[in-house]
Amino acid sequence: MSLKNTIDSYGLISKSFHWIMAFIIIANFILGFFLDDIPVGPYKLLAFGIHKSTGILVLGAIILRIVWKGFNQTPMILSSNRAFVILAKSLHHLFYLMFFVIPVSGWAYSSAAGRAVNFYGLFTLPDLVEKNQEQAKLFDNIHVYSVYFFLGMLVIHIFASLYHHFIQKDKTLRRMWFGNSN
Amino acid sequence: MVRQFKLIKYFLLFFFISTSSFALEKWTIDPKKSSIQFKIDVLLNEDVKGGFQKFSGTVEVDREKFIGNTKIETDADSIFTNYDSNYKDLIRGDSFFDLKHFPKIILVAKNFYINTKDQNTISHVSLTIKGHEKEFDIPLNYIFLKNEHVILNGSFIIHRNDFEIGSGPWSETFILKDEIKVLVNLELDKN
Ligand code: HEM
Ligand code: HEM
Repeated sequence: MSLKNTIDSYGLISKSFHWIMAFIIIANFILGFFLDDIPVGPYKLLAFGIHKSTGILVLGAIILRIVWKGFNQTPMILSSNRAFVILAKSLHHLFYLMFFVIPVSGWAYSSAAGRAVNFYGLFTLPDLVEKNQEQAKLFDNIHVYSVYFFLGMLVIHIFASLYHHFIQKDKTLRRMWFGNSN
Repeated sequence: MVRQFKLIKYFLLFFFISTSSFALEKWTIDPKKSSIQFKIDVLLNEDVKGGFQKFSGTVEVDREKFIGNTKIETDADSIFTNYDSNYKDLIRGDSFFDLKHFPKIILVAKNFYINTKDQNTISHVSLTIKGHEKEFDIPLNYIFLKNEHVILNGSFIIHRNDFEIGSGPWSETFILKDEIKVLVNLELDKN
């Protein structure tokens, strides 16, 4: 398996980015979802620390992933339907955009609410905006709505890949997985 | 820097010896120029950093005999931290400082001595928070300015569980650590 993508398959680096990030993002989504339910106490502090740090990790990783994508060709979408191809490409690009919007809105929300963002206890990130309750509400809303919008995108994405695999019976899912796709 | 400190110390020593009867001198804290700050480490999150805004006190010392007494009273209600936006009430409530019952934090210094090993001045203090009293030593650094003004600083570590700062679920120390690093910077004027 080559490190780089080819015109009809993903390389090892793109596959690793896809699956490692998918796992981390879904885990952070679940953690985010339960943040409010954790009773006030040290475990809440820990959960918030991990959620925010992991979100920042995703932000860093998405930048590297886009750089890597820039050095690679993107395998062609396996469909003869032009509308589906455009839809699939748009959804993929929108994913990249979402992983700016989601972490940055979370970060801006924390800054506006007067809470510093720390990366796994290693260092403190600068505040993105000044403390301001109204802005905090706005960024909180952006964060929450964008994660649920992302959830909708993910459901479509998963159904699409299962549709390719089981109905179309093409190699879309196999070429994103680690074995031989042919 | 070390040389300068040594010089200052020798100068002070000479000053002590050459001045015949010193008796008790009274110094008062200038709260505007002084600060009491603290820091607690948090696992995988931002450390708790904060301080107290209101405190007052006097230092009475006989510089010749190296005895005296100091009392610093801190208004526990004047506490501020970088976690205030979420935990302001909690910090003031009974699981942390229980301000209703314990509005003051009191530090009393009973005596001073010079550590013969490193020539540092050590103050033996007792600290009372939430009704719990602990005694320990604080190494002090001080610089006299024009003999009417002194800058004094000391840093020390206390353990929050010794004072019940964080009871119930907060008494665990894996996430919110037990150690509180305290940094006291005081500027005092001679009365
Ligand atoms: C992969 C990136 C991220 C994902 C998938 C994610 C997901 C979520 C989810 C699902 C929630 C719960 C929303 C709800 O209340 O229903 C949430 C809340 C929250 N997230 Fe994130 N998040 C991410 C990154 C970040 C970052 C980078 C920060 C801050 C630096 C952050 C800060 C917060 C905060 C403070 C809340 C609580 C909001 C509230 O209580 O209203 N998140 N996140
Ligand atoms: C948080 C979760 C996920 C995110 C953010 C995500 C994002 C992406 C993105 C951005 C691409 C396009 C890569 C590129 O060409 O630049 C992609 C491709 C792909 N994803 Fe996901 N994905 C996630 C989860 C999943 C899951 C759970 C599955 C399978 C059930 C899946 C299956 C695929 C497949 C098969 C492709 C290749 C599409 C093609 O060959 O045209 N993804 N994903």
